[in-house]
Amino acid sequence: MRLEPGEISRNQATYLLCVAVLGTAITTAPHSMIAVAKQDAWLLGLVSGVYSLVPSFLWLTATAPWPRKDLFEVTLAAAGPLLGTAINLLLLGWLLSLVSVVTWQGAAILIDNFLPSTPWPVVVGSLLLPAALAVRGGLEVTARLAQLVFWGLVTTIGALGLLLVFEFDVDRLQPVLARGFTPIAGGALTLGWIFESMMLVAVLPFVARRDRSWRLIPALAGIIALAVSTVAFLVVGVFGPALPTRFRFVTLQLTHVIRIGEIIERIDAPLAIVWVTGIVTKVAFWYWLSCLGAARVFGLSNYRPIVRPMGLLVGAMTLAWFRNESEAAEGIRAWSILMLPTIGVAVPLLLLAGRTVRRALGRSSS
Amino acid sequence: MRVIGVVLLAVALGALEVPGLIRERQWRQIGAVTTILVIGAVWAGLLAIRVPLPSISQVLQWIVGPLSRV
Repeated sequence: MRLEPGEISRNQATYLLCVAVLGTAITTAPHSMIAVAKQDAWLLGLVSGVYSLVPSFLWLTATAPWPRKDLFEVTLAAAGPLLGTAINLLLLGWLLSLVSVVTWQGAAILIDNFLPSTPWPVVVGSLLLPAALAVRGGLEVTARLAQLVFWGLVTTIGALGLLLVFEFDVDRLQPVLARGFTPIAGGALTLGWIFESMMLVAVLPFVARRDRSWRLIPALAGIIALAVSTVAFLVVGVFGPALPTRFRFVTLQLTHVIRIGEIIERIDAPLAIVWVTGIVTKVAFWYWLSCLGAARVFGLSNYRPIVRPMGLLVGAMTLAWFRNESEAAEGIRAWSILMLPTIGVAVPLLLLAGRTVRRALGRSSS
Repeated sequence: MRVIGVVLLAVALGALEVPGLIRERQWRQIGAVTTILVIGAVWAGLLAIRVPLPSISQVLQWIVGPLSRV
């Protein structure tokens, strides 16, 4: 039984996944990229784009025989009821941790930059409430929102590039590859978005025309890698490689140096509107996927009644993730390192193996 | 007290669907809603009264720490 009645277009699926990654990555990724690769951070973004193709294609291959079944139905069909349920529980745990980490990051961005004296539960609640409304509206609502936000994000990156042209110094990006390629090749594996973009496969069953949908994977990886690399490029070109490691959300600091004549100054307000909407859309997408997973695990016919209870659970998890902000950077890195080999590689390989074994035993369900 | 109030409000919001589900005799849905609400409420309640639980990140470090040394 289909839990999500809505359908979206291929373009909307691409926009949705772009926003599901860039919603927070645009503000959080440059800090960790520059900490790892210094002035070569922009190269790190491009390399991570190549890496992201591996889990994406693995997942696409594992789910290909069931184009109209959602991700959680596919695991049951490929691996059987016992192993399939275990994988679904693992996926649900991962999705819940992802949505709560994303909410935490969104709340941290808001508290650090705009709402320093607002209590955490209030900010977390104000991010989850509009996201819950979008999730109850179904995938189509979140996809429409993403369609709007995507062009907002592209415009803001473009505007930053244009307005920072007088502050930009190419010398700050030199020397290229001073420490060789090894730190970039290793560091790119710790970027969380590598395994976020693979969840395109979770949206594909709801795409109206699925033919040649594999083409969306390199397109998605290219757009995200280009966006993340451009932001890192701008940050290093303006601040150099040392200063950005002191700011967690260094992209927002870029807006503070824009001063053109006495007309264009402090443009953080319009950018913040786009970026905060992006955060809410990102939270809404992962929240929707968590609700879909929970509904499958509980064997429900509709995921909408559990949207609000899931909001409470996600809110509690968000507040329980980190004791303090210094724990967050190391915690998110450890979590990314654990998730890439398990959810990104082991689970799709397990599904492929399960499908082969079940086909050999003549128990294939398609 | 204010945080506990927020938790209770969130639980009440989460339980809004329950009367409708009871009328429609959707027992499985009620079971799912109740289970998720209870887990969420207990967790949020423990955080609200500041029980010194380890953070999720700390638990993850306990798992990843030994793995990264191997």
